[in-house]
Amino acid sequence: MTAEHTPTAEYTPDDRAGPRTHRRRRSVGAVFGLVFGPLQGVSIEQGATSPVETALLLALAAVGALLTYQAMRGYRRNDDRSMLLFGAGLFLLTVGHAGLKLFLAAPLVAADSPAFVFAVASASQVADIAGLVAIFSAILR
Amino acid sequence: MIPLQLSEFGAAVGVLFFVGSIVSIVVGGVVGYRAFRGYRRSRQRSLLLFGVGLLLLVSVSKLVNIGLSSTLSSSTLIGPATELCRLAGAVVLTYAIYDR
Repeated sequence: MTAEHTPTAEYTPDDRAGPRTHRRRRSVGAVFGLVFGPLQGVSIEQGATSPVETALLLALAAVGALLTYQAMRGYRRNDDRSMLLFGAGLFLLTVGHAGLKLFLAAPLVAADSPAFVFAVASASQVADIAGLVAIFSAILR
Repeated sequence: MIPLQLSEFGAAVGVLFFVGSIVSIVVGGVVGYRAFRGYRRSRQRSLLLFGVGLLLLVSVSKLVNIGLSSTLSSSTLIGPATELCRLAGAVVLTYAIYDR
């Protein structure tokens, strides 16, 4: 039975006891160091940390609403599908990002189940990627 | 910051964030590159502004986020700097839409 090893960047103990307890997952260990170093500020778990950031997020949401409104007006005028995709992408990238940061940080901190934490914390990344894909497909048309 | 226990799940979350950030940076760069190519071909200023705005909105803000969080020790500046980049990108995009 292995002793209680704290996982470090070099050695992550195998959870299962038995003949394979000393298998070193070096690749996962390297990823630890790489990922937890630079990643402290990336996710939305912190939410809006200061009033400055809240003001910036609100301004971003306002500008994004204006952009989306213009794109929707262009879509209604020209009936051009690519403007609809463009507006959806801009909405996700601006208003979606601001809304996620402002409103989802609180239930995230209070959440218990890791699945919920994972789903919410990755929502901002998914929103960014989805917005980019929408804009990209709007350009391709 | 949620206390990410160094478990398999935390590692999966961290890796997914990193991969997601890299993907959005790269895709944003591709879209900006296409916008710049269209600008060079047609000389429309709105395309140039659109490319710069989109790059600022997505790629530069994420790069600023990753860069600041790996170099700075205090994390109070990271959030506002990232959102400032996004706001600047959105403002440039409004210039791009209202230009002609």
